[in-house]
Amino acid sequence: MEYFIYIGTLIAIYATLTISLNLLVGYTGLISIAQAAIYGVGAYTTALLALNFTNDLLISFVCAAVVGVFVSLIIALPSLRLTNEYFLIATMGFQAIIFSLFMNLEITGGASGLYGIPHPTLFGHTIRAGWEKLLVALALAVICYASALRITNAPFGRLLRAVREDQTAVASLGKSVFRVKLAIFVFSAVFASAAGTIYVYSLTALDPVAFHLDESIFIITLVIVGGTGSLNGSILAAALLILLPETFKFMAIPEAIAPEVRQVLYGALLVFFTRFRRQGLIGEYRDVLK
Amino acid sequence: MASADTILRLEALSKSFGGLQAVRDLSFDVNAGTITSLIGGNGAGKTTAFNLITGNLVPDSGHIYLRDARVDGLPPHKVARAGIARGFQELRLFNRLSARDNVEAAIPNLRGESIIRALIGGRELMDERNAADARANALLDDLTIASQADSLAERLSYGQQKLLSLGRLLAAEGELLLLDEPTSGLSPGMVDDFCTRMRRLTGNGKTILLIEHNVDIVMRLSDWVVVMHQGTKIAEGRPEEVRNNVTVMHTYLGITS
Amino acid sequence: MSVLAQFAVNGIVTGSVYALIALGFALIFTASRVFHFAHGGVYTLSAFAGYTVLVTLELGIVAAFLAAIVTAALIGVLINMLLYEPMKAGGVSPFVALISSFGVLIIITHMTAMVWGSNPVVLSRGGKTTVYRFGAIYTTDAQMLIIGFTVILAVALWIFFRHMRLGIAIRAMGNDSELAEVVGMPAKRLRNISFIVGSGLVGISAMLIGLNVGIIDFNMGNEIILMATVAMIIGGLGNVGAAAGGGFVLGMIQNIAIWKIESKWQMALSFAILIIVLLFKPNGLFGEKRPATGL
Repeated sequence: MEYFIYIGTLIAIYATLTISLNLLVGYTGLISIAQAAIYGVGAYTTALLALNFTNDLLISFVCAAVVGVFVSLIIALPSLRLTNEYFLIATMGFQAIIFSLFMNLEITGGASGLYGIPHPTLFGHTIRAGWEKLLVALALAVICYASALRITNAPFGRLLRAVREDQTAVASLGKSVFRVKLAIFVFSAVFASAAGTIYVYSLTALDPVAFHLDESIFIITLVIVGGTGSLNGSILAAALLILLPETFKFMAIPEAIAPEVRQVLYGALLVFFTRFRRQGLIGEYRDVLK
Repeated sequence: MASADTILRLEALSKSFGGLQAVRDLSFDVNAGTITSLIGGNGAGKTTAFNLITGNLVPDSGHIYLRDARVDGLPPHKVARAGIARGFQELRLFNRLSARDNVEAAIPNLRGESIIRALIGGRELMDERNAADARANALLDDLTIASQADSLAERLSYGQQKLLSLGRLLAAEGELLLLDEPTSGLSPGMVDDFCTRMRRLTGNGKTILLIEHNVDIVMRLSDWVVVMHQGTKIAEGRPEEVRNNVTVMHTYLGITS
Repeated sequence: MSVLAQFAVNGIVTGSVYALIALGFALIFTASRVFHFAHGGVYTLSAFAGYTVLVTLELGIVAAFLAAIVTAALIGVLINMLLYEPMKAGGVSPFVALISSFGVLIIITHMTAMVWGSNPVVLSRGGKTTVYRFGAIYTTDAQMLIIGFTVILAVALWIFFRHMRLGIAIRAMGNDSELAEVVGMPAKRLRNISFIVGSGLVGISAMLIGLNVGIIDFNMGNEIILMATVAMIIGGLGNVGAAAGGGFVLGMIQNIAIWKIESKWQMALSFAILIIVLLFKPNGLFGEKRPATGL
């Protein structure tokens, strides 16, 4: 049972990460591969806070979001001056720099990460049971989904899509493309870092590998498989791609190579969907990725 | 200095790309409420001049005034906010947005376009949305494409797309409209329709600066014509003056007609 | 002073390594406009092909190099023919191909781990390493080989792109597919040739670098392709010589920086340089200035 609860928590975390990235990739046309770094910033903030000051869940969320937003501004202010491939490569640069900080700073525990993190408390109650943590993770995913739905259905969402379609035209209508992009980048960072908080408290430990460039590419894969510009698709993809490798346990795949098989599968899905089905499983448009 | 009814003034604008001088020492005024046409052969520098005016390019030297305010050096969205609305030769519609969304995306100062306001929501935003819908529907109706309001822009016929791009331009509420070959590729009937619309717009207080290849339209529609050749202005005047200008006949009209 | 000189020599060696990878990467980018990250996977796989021939089958160094080159060229051109070309034909931008190539990189990397295991293996041709000494500066035969090969290759490619019809055509194609047709060769075939040559080069590089370091593992291509990306961008995009120059600059900076900064910060430092160049010198240090376009 604990096992299924853990998988459920993982799916909720990835659904949050995927929705938050889809707002950039699918709605605004900003292919960022720094999402895992921002996720990590939220996780490290939460872990260090819990080890040194407080394990209050709400304070953790707020602090993770504040630091996540700060870092996202450092990434976005220079990167948003660039377009397309150059934006992607700049965010890749920040991803590598931030990961290197996680790995090499004293305070972040280096390659071994941080452990022995206390369980979180909410209004004085200690959240210890797996199912309670699952509920918290689901709550975050629901809030993320609802607010993403709200802003994408509002005129702001129309502006996002307009930026994706033609930035020059948006500017010619008197609207600042930079401001729109910055707003959505920061919004996305709030949820990515909050997902980091959940990650840390569900494991009560933190491994830097979880915030590597490969993880950013995995989140992009989830966005593309689900469908760029489809929030429901993001949830579906997170559920499917987390569950799929779990079925290996019931197949005749040796445990030693199971992680490799999983990676190959993810890589193959990324290639397949970019090559044959760019609208993703239930995406709206075929060519959001032009 | 600028006379009372000058809305746009270009002063000695120059722009070069590498070794190519695209616009050289270009000066002219556009008077409010008129249609001014910018004509010249391919590579004369007309579109570059547009890009300089709208802030898509920064001039190497020279100044641009809208009313009395300098707009050269401002980024495109600020130029647009100052009151210059631009149509593109290649339309640049938001292809995978509905026709109505294309128009509504141009409406200025929508509170729902702020991410915070969008998150908070509320009655005000509903009212604003209804007003925007009404505005867009009225514009689409006037442009005879109301039936296509919910179609994606890319699904519209070319003529409808041209009308839609005009609708988007009008929703932006600029007082000076820059139109880059608005009638190219249209049937004669639609060309007439466009000419009528442009005339009506100046009647309603708009000013139009037009890039146009069709000499007949230029002569019929313009109050003032500026002729460019190899990046510089070689003549300007009323249509009939320009038509009778010997230099223009040789370098431009002589070639095209 | 001699310490600094040694750092400089190390910088030249590292720079040559980056330049070698960046050369093929840039050749492919020039022809196809695709950031071919899977190049890193081709690099890894060809090293293991060479390892199998040299160490497992004991067929000798020449056969090992051949195996690496052939494997690399074959995989490279197959990626182009089966993935990038159909995407291009379908009107999909090279940007999507970039994302796709991450997928290919992941597949190759982890399939390599499945076949050869995830632990490093020793790549050695036996015998002793010869160490050369110039005053207070030390270098090995493998390092000399890398430097020499890089210089020869950079010069050869420079001549190829400046003075040979095929090279000029490939360069032209980067800007405009129709231009390439002028020389009477279909653009598609030109791109395939570029993938064969560019990938073949990475096969040679993989062996040279593998022999120099002495061990290879399934992850070796991932870091090196990131460094090649940095090299290509700080050198100047779409220009093979500039990419090689960028590789040398990057290698020098990394090694001279060791003087003041711990080596664990090399990756962060390299990407910081990348971001600075992207922002302030988007055409790169040696790139040709491209004329600005209207819109």
